[in-house]
Amino acid sequence: MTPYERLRLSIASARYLEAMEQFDEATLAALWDEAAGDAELLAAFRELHLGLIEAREAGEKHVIESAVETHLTSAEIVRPSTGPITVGDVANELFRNTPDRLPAAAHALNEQLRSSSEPVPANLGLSSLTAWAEAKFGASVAEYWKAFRQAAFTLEFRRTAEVEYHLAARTAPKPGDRK
Amino acid sequence: MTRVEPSHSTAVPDDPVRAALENAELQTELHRHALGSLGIMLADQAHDRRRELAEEILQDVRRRAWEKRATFDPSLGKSVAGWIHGILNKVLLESCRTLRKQPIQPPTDTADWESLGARLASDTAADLAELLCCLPEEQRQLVAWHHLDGLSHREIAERVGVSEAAARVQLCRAMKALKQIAAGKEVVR
Repeated sequence: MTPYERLRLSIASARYLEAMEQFDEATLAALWDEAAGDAELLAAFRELHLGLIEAREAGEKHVIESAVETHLTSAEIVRPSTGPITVGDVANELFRNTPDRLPAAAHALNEQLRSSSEPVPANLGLSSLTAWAEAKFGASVAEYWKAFRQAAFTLEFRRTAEVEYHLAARTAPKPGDRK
Repeated sequence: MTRVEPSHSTAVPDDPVRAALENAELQTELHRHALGSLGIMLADQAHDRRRELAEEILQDVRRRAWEKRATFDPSLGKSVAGWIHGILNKVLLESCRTLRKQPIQPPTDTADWESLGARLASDTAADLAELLCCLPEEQRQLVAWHHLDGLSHREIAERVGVSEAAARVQLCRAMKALKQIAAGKEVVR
């Protein structure tokens, strides 16, 4: 694409957006008349529509999340996760979904672990996890470590599902797509 | 609103309108056109309401395109997809005007855009840099990447970490701001 072509499409796209914002019917009609005979311009407008939808949905999601965070402070907003699962992630999951009949000392330990950024070990076998955790954070009842292990599994499954969802949702480029 | 659908028989080669109305990819594009435009023109309406309205509008567009199919002339060098998008644009504006209870607006002046186009096409690098430096940093960078360095929207999207479509919208907003600056007007953000 020549610099002139790039400039022409860029200005036409910006004019199109401005005409929509200003409800300028004459300009919109003129631009669509032009696009009907101009494949590049038509493609630019198509891409712009997609961007507007994405921007609108992102804006609405942000408004909803802000409202939830302000007015429903106990609610959890699940966001796409990155990095390894940490002890803090697991303790927060246990805080939100606390199992029955845990002693007060276990609650106190869990509260303390909520701020930990220590990654959870890959081996989630109960005995090795308990030995690792007690060496690092101190002893607790067996029920607590069982619940901790279960919550770590839950988070791992959730994260795997997120990754698969995002991979599935990604649109594969078409062979003829321009770079 | 009457639901009119072309029959599902295979389109004959000399009926491009029927072929277009049966084309799933074009239907998706039309849906995005309707939804993207309604998001701007009826921003105050709820998302579900805009979605419903988009469906109603698309039904109307299919009906009108079908009724007017004899007037589409491929020999004029226009694509059938562009022709149908044009019909959609008309129906969108009619629907929004009714909902907003707003008369037709006078067309905006194109002189500022023409002036910006001429200036960007002919200015020396120094003049252009002076114009660009009045833009906020993020917008300046987008315009410079696209118009000075020749980066595509996809390449810009990769650098910024957004989708290609989002990069295009951001660049449009930057160009609007640049037009305001070039015309000596205050930039509305």
